[in-house]
Amino acid sequence: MVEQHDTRSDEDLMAAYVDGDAAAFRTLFNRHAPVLYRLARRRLSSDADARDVVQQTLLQVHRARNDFRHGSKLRPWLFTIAMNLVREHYRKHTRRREQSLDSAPAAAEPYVEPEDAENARERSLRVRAALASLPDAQREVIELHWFENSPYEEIAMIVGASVAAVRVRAHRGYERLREILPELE
Amino acid sequence: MPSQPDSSDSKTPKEPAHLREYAQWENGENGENVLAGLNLEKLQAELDGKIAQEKGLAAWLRARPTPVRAMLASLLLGVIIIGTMATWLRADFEIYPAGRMQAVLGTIAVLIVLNVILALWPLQFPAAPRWLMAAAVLGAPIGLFFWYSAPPAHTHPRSFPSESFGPMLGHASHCLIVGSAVAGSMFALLAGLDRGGSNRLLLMAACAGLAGNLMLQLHCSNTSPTHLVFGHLGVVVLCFGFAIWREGVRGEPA
Repeated sequence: MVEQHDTRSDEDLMAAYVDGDAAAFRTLFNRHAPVLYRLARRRLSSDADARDVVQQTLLQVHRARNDFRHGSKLRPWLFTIAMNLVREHYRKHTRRREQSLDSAPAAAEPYVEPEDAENARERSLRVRAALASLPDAQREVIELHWFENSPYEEIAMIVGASVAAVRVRAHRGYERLREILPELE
Repeated sequence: MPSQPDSSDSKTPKEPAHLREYAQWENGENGENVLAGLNLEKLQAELDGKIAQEKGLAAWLRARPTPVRAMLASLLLGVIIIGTMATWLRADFEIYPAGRMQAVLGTIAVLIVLNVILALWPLQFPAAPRWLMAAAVLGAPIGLFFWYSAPPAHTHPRSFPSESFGPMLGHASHCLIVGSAVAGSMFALLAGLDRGGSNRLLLMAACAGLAGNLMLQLHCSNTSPTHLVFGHLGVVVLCFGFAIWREGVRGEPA
């Protein structure tokens, strides 16, 4: 497949796509669809909803292609669109939020070490619930910083806040996670 | 798995240790793979189908750069203003208090600009604050009601007729129809320029209603508050009603 050998940067690919190179968009899709899916799946409760967000994100990139300026970065674009769509999707469907660990029955019961085979999954589900209990502003920053390895400057562009504000949100979010999940330290 | 941020950097808050394990679990290193639900080829095919449908005038309009989209909306407003002033200016323009006219038109102008900006807000920008969107939408009926319910700008007999409710309703209906036609043109243009995303319908409705009121303020010489509320503000109410109806049809929040 051509895209496996395509070493062009995201920005060069986007510029090529704006100029009419459809293969460039396919390469961008293959590069970023899994990342966007993981980002969306972490926030939404179904595979179908996450796929829908990925599709809508890339459709928006197509529609907004003439807004892309030389010198701009594509990754913040993608993440901003995806996160805006996730927020809209969340509000639209008024789904029940993932149960906060503060109110989860497990928090009131003594923590019993599960069998080894289930150990990682059980802990990870508790981490996921803990992430869901964070305020959206903190959760978004932690997801971008930790899971997507985005620098604070990029996160600031995506969420529309100052770098200092982003650092504060990250700090508070990590502290809150440590408070919620002390037994997993 | 992508490398995690370096927590030895003193500027980076130290993340809880179990986040690394969660990230590994997400990527299938401990059994479950959260990417298992993603079929890339199928998703690509569906996306190709949607992009292939991006044809016609609406697709061309929404693919214009955002400054061009804003300019097109401004152009239509310009046509409404100039067209009305050139061909259909209100008969009492000479005696209408200039300060009041500027205040009313200024209120409408500020609200239209705000609503157009928010309606065309690109999704690749951080979302505009929701309180600002609410203020823009609610500002339309509230701002107009403030001026329309105030004492009449003047009480010249031709502009302030002493008419009963029935005839008043008849005259107001005329303005309602004409204003709604102008509003409809604005709504149609904004719908063509819209790239998608929720919360746009009410913003577009506010823009459209304000555009209709802009034309009516320049054309209609009736200064009766009752007429203004029913015949002019009613255009905004109809636009909001249409947006809410469209929300029901499309199944998404306006």
